[in-house]
Amino acid sequence: MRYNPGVTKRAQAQPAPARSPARPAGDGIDDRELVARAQKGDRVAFRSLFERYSRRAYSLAFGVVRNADDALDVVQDAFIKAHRHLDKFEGQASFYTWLYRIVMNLAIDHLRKNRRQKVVDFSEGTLDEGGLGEDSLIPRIIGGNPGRALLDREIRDRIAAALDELSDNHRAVLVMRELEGLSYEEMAQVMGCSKGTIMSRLFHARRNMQKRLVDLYDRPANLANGPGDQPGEEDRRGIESEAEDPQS
Amino acid sequence: MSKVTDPDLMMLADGELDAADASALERAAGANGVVKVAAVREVGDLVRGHLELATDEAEDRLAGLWTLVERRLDGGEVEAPERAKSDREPSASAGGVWSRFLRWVDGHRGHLLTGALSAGAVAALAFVLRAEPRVEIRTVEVPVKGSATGPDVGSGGSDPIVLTATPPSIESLEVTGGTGTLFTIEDDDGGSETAVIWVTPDDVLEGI
Repeated sequence: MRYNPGVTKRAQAQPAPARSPARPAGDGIDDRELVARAQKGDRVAFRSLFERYSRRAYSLAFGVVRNADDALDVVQDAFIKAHRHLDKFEGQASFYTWLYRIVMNLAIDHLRKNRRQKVVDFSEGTLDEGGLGEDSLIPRIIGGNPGRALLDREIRDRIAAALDELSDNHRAVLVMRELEGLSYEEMAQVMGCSKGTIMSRLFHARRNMQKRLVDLYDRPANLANGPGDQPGEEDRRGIESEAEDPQS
Repeated sequence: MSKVTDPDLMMLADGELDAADASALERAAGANGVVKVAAVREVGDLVRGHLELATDEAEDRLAGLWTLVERRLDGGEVEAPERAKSDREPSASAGGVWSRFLRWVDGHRGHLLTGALSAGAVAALAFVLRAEPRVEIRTVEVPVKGSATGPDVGSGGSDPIVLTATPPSIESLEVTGGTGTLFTIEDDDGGSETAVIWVTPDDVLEGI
């Protein structure tokens, strides 16, 4: 599945169709049946699961480990581990839910093992005063179509750098939330911490991202849109008009 | 709803509030609150878009990943993952011995550090516990010229006895617990000399 700047998060979160020309049987078959077959040793069924979810697994892994080679290693290890423990998968959750937990755990383990410098979380505790003051969210938006903005190499690099600078825990939570749309409760289970900690990490991750991208807010509206293409301006006006009349 | 906080707005943006709370918060949010909710969602869009594009860039390598997974499954699930061909990083066989060595060092940084620390600790321990330098002197009893010879010599008589090193291979030495004096005496046949080390222990008074 290629990135489409206009596609929403939920639409993007759908399973990616396999791309390989030599596609194994399995298209159109639901996960449960593929898993059942794979549990009986059907390698082709397992390959179908791989092709269905390797891309999403990679996005998740890359978001956490921030290195393409390491992310590929994590995905590879995750599928090996999934295959090894497939008999323990009982089908109570979806296969991907089970898989992303494996990916997440491996990615976090990878960070722990290979950490060369540690970004310290000074904001690991509970949120104070609702995150007001210095640590409050910045009430600014870049505006326009973020997907189009990302076509600007400089903006992409800035976002990559901002993600790199987050602490491992902050980044992991942010990626889980934005990529997989997990609830706070689900993230707390995956990360093995309280829901309050998840909220705190997520809040500060977003706040830190905003701080590192703050100068983008001061640029002319919709900096990545082409001439004559100003949906960003419209969006900005829309938000401002909403802001003026919160009742609307 | 009393005071609207940023975490409240974040929960609203994330859909973590039930419908009643969400609509109450939307009414109370105010201008700033609405923009903050939009800002939270925008950060999400940017992060998601960035990761999607990064994944697009890795698509070719992802396509080749199944081969590596299958090889590991067939090969008894070896521990270390093989790497899909990287554009950024040369393959393990490329780049010469030095770069392979550096990659190996990079991959075993933790082990090397542990090894170096252990070796340092052992070296420090060995230095602290090292034995005092010891000079081993083999000695023979040699009667001084003109004195009596035989098995009784030195066993209780008054004949002087000297200690000689055989053969002398040192020019100077330190003796623990005493004083060492090095000198040479002529052999009986007069053709050669023997080095003699006279050792006087510290706790032995001269002449007794």
